[in-house]
Amino acid sequence: MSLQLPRKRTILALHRWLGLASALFLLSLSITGLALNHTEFLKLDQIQIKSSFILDRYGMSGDSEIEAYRIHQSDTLAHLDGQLFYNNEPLIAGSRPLGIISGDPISVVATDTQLIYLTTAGELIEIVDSSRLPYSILTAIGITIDGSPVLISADGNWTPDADWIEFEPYQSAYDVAPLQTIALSVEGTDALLDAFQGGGVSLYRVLLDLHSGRLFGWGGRTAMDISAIAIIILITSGIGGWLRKSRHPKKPHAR
Amino acid sequence: MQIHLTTHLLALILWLLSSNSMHAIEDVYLEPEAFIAQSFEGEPEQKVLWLTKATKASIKQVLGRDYRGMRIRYWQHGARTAWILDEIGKVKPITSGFVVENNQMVSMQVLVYRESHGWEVRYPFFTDQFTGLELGENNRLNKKIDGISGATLSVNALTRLSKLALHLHQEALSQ
Repeated sequence: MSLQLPRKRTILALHRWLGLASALFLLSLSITGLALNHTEFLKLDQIQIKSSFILDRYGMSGDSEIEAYRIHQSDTLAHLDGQLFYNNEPLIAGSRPLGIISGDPISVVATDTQLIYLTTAGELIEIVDSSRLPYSILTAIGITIDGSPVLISADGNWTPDADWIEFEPYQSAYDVAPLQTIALSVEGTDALLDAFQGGGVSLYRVLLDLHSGRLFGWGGRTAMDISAIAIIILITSGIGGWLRKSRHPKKPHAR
Repeated sequence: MQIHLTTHLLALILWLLSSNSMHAIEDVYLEPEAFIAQSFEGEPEQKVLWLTKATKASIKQVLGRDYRGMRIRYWQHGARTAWILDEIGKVKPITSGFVVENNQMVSMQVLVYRESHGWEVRYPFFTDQFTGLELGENNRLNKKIDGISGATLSVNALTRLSKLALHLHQEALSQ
């Protein structure tokens, strides 16, 4: 068995073009790798990045529309990018509310797949997701003639008991009033964005994700995978080229 | 024999690309309703355990962190209770069901798994280890739960939840 090496010219051409094509990625890998190796010395984890481009990569730019609602007379419930906030404090990850039923001692925020039970002070009592509810997707919140809430879904309509533990099927009349949004002040919007973005993203996190390519999602990871494979090919083609040279030593110059 | 280097490299790239496209999805192994139905011989009563300050403090000792929320629902029939609890493995919550009787774990089942790795915790070779578990002094389990390579975080999450279920059973029956 013998290893058939391609022609030297082919090997060198592959080596050259692969080297040029992967240079940028290899440079990024090397620089970020060096920096990550000295995280403590460079204090990478203490430097926070608030650039909109970087925050956008992490889905933290908060560019989506803020939807705010009144709850408990003077408090605010807001929704931004899959996160719910109670008076600018993060509450839970959840979708846009479909209804708010203020009550005492339990108030309920209803989203399409969750019921979020709160105290009158906004403390979280319990989160019940659709796997523990009689329906899969909630479409609206209605009110019966006697003022009781009705959970409306494609699977049927349901009324809760006083503690919101058990749900009974409901087939009589009800009214649906759309949930009214309120406008947040500029200060309120800024405070909500601050709460949403936290202190930003640490430089350590950004470099780590740049190193692995995750900063640019699926494409970035694939590019880094290909770069890693390119290193293997570069090593192989380098050795292959050298072997070719060694097997066919230059003829001595004729005098 | 000629080695087709290019073919092998292409195959490697394709494999890497395909593994990159794998992502976490929600796998429902057993509906919570079905879990409750199969955990009791009779019709269980659905109850809620309100968490007092003392209970929250004791839960923190068991779980190693604060529990968000002020009540936990459970099902009871006689001395047997069933709990459906969530705990994050790596980034997403694992929903599991626990059945406890006489302060001893009767069974544990993974109901919904949302992580991309570690789904092996759903299999009986792992879940069967939880049968007979008891909570001893300093919130230690009476048996060691063997881990699974590549599923350490999920194993740890389920071990923590089993302690919580045993603790909550005691709290529920003492209230």
